[in-house]
Amino acid sequence: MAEFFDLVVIGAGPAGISAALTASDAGLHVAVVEEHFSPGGQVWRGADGPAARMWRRLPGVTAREASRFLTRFRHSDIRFFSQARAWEITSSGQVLVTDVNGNSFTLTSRKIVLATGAQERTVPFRGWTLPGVMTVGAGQILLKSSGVVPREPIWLAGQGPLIALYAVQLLAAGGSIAGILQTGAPVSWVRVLQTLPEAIWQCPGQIGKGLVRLAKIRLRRVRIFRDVEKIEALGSGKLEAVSFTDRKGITHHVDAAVLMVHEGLIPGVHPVLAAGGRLEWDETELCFRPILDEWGESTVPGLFVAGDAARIGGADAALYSGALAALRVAMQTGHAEEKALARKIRFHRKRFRQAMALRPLVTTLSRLRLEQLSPADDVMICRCESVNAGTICRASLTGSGMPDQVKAFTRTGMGACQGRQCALPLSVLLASTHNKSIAELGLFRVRAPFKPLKLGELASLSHESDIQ
Amino acid sequence: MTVNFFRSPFAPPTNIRVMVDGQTVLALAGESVAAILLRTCDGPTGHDHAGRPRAPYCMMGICFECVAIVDGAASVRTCLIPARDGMNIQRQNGPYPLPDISCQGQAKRNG
Ligand code: FES
Repeated sequence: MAEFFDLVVIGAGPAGISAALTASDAGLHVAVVEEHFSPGGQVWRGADGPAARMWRRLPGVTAREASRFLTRFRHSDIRFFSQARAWEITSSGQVLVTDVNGNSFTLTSRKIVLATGAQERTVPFRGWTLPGVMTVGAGQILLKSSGVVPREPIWLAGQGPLIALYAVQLLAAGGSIAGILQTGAPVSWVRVLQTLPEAIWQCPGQIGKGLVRLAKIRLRRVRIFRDVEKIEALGSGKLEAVSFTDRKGITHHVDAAVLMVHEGLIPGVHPVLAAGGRLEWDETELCFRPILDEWGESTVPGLFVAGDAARIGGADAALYSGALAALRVAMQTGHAEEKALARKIRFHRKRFRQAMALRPLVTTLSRLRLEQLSPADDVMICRCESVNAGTICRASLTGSGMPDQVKAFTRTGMGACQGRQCALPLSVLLASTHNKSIAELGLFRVRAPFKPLKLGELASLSHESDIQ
Repeated sequence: MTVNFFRSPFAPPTNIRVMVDGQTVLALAGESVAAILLRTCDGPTGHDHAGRPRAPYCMMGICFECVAIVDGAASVRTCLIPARDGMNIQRQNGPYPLPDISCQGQAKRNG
């Protein structure tokens, strides 16, 4: 049986929870669909997990905010579908979902908010599929949700604020770090001077916290290598060593049990693409993001995107953008008038702008070198189907060189992750091979089901659901 | 055998038992099954369809590198599954096992 809602929110992180609560407060009948077994997204992951007591003591966690929102969410009358995969959004506003037992059902909704969050930018390098290599985000989730830390020697590589955050959390949880390998483009100090005043003015606390983290890492005498290039993970069957070149061009070869990589966050765009929404290329953030109006409504009417899935801004920005989308939905569905909401709208807009004020400084301090995305021929681009860069380049020369065709020729992006990891590296690689702009190439097409679906799960859709 | 992950000294004590490839493993109720695999397996927590060693990469449901057979269900993303007492976890190596839906299989089941 299809169930009817005023609003279906996909994703129960800060943006999704904030959107759901705001809409529910305005009197809308709301459902939230979440893949994970508990709400909170990756930021609040662990807040009500089995290691919650340890979690609350980790540096950088926002325990009070998490418990405030999660408690309100739990006590609301919002329908919460946890461990549920949304895999199709139809043009008539139906969301097709499969639960953990493999039963599929339809939620019919007047409006939809996608709050599916960010993902870590994939930057393939030699050996990145070896067990022992994982992302920094993965390491942080392991720690927060399960209280698990890596064995020494641990190397962290990449750029962006998450590395320093995880480093101090790992140190606080009894881990140690062999070294940090900083990649990325040289910092433009002119840009720093341009972006710093606004950041200090709007987010002094955040900058203070960042400096404290760096000082803590220094104090523990973690080795830091700057302007690192040519990182390789080595080992047979699992990671055993890491090699890299430092700023002087000297090649190092170090023992490693675990290598964690992080090259920044990008919006996860698969759901919005599958629903027919259009994307644009963001040259400063070096990622695709959905084209949205000031409320977060996409090019598909009635389909909103909020939080990091819309634009990377972190948890605070996500809370406000989620609320703004929900307020707009409340107006569109006739639950509130713009005049009555004017104060709330002004408040959330102002806070959203404040939260985003840090971002220009962050992207100035941590920016990808585009060459990092042009790996050698033998580097695997598509982990799922084991397709390397050389195969992709050769295949692209025999045809149009467009992502969809290369996907068909080589199976890049046809594996279990449905191209979530290789879509961007593929387009960047094709752009550089064919001297085209990434914006013009776009990403390959994404269709429903935008999460893998077993045939039995599809067959279990009830007949009354009447999909159009 | 050296595993690459262990429990933080500040993590709460284990309170359940699960099976990993037939071996009993102590675990924490509600930790992710992927976390158990990481601190039980020496390196690979599974192998892809071409037989290459793999292990959880993203821990947030994106990469599908953590798939395993949990209580008989194949190809589930273990980073999204909370551990429960008595859970039976098997590493998935090579092509995903398909259920037996042949006529003989049906006949066998129906007696
Ligand atoms: S570790 Fe990536 S999907 Fe589970």
